[in-house]
Amino acid sequence: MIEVSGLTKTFSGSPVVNDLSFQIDMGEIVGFLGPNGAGKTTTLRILTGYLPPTTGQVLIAGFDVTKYPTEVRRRIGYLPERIPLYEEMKVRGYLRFVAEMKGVERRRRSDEVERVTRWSGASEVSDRLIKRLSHGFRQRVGLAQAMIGDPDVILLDEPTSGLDPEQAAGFRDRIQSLRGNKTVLLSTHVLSEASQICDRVMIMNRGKLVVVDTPANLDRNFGGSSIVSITVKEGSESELLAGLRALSGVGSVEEIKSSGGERTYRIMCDSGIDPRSGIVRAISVSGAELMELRRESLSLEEIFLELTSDRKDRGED
Amino acid sequence: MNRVWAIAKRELADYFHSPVAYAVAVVFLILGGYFFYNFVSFYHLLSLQPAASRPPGEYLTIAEGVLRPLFENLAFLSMLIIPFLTMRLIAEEKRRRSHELLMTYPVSDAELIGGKFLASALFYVALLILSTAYPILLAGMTEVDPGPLLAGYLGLILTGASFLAIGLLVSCTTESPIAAAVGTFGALLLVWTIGWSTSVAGPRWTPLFESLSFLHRFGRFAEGIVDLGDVVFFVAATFALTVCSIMIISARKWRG
Repeated sequence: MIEVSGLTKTFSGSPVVNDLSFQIDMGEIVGFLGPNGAGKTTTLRILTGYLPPTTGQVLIAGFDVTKYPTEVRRRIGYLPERIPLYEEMKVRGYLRFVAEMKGVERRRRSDEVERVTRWSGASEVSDRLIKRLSHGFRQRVGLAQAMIGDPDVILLDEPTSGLDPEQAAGFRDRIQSLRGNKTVLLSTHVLSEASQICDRVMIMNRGKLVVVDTPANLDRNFGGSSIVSITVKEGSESELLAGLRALSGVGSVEEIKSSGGERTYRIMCDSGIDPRSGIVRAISVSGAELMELRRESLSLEEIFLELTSDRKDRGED
Repeated sequence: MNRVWAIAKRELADYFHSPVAYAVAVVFLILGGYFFYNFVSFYHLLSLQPAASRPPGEYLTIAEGVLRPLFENLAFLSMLIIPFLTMRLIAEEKRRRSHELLMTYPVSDAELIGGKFLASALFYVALLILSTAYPILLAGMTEVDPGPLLAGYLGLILTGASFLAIGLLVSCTTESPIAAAVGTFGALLLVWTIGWSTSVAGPRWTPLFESLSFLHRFGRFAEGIVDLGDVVFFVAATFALTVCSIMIISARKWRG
């Protein structure tokens, strides 16, 4: 349904989206993750045809966005991040206007507006002025306008940001109810949200795709790795670090705190390996006293941070 | 065409949601009425004088003495109010970023510009229709020749349309409605007064400045003369300026 190949977008010379390729099938819900400035919004804007790609190709339902913009726009519903609405209009009037814009036939317009208003949970405010709506209701109206005309592809830019937990849960339920019927691409920086509702997750950083996988696979591949944090007293620091780094299955060791003679280290461990006994031995060899040892498995949030952090980038260079 | 009308309808509703439309209408109609009153009084005073003491050939008819100065002043008032009718058309969409969402609907740039132009033109024509109260009042007092009247209104519509097209074009270039209004006013003043340059331009350039001068061309309509060349000039100017607006809106697509 959505095919992107070799997509690059540069703003005044610097690439914001860098050689992006992915494919989303009909009926899938895909989460687009990344820190702010990763290029998610730019990618979505290119998908809608609002921005032209510098190079590369985007096909939506088989139509090239630059060559057949109107055909593409007929098939997408888009919710931008900060939804720009016509403040002076009433919700119903605004949605009628959108229905006219999207070419919904006159006799079906009222029904269509009624349908999306009810579906998005905005019925109770349909006679209110948009400027008097709370953020939660504005977002629902935004979702309603995206759904008008029953487009096959729904693009949502951070749909749940700024919503309270209950509203966000309601939004997630609505999006999940589209599974199988619509192709949904939503951007977010909340990984738990993506793992909850998405069939696949794409993690983007600095304009590049870092990982594309199902939430379950992400969990399996990275979730096995763990972090051991230790707190020690006295002993030789250099000897301890050398001893820890020599252990197999230990990725990186860094000091995260040092106070009152106690030092705390964070040790990244590869998946499937439990180096705790080795760590204890290394500590006693260095002559230090072990005050505390704790092992945590990596959450998806931490995988996300690992994959998108600068530290990781420097490691790759 | 449906979409053009939908955009125009929404824009017209926007006019009436803001006090700008009311302010514009009040200024236009009250000042227009004030000018009208002055011209009629002056004509009345003049017509009471014995024929011998009048300057020869002047103010002999209603068309010359009342309608012509009325139309010239209504055209001048149009120049003052049109920047306020066009300033928000595109600049406001850009400022509130609704433009981004609008451009993801299956609507073409030409439909968008067409709808915006239509909205401002309908509002302007409504003002002109209200202003017919003055000639109607005049017709109640004396006989008014419909020819110069129709010519004058045709001139106002054509000149107004090209003014609106200039305003729309300026509104496409900025995100600030105020900047659009200032820019439009400057541009209108320039095309209105460019004919004045003829006095310094020398005989070689005089025809060029005269042909570009909106004042000069409108002046003939106010006199009751409908010249095909003038009609073509205003229609072509409106069309060309509107096409420029469409091109500016589309520029986003090919600019890196």
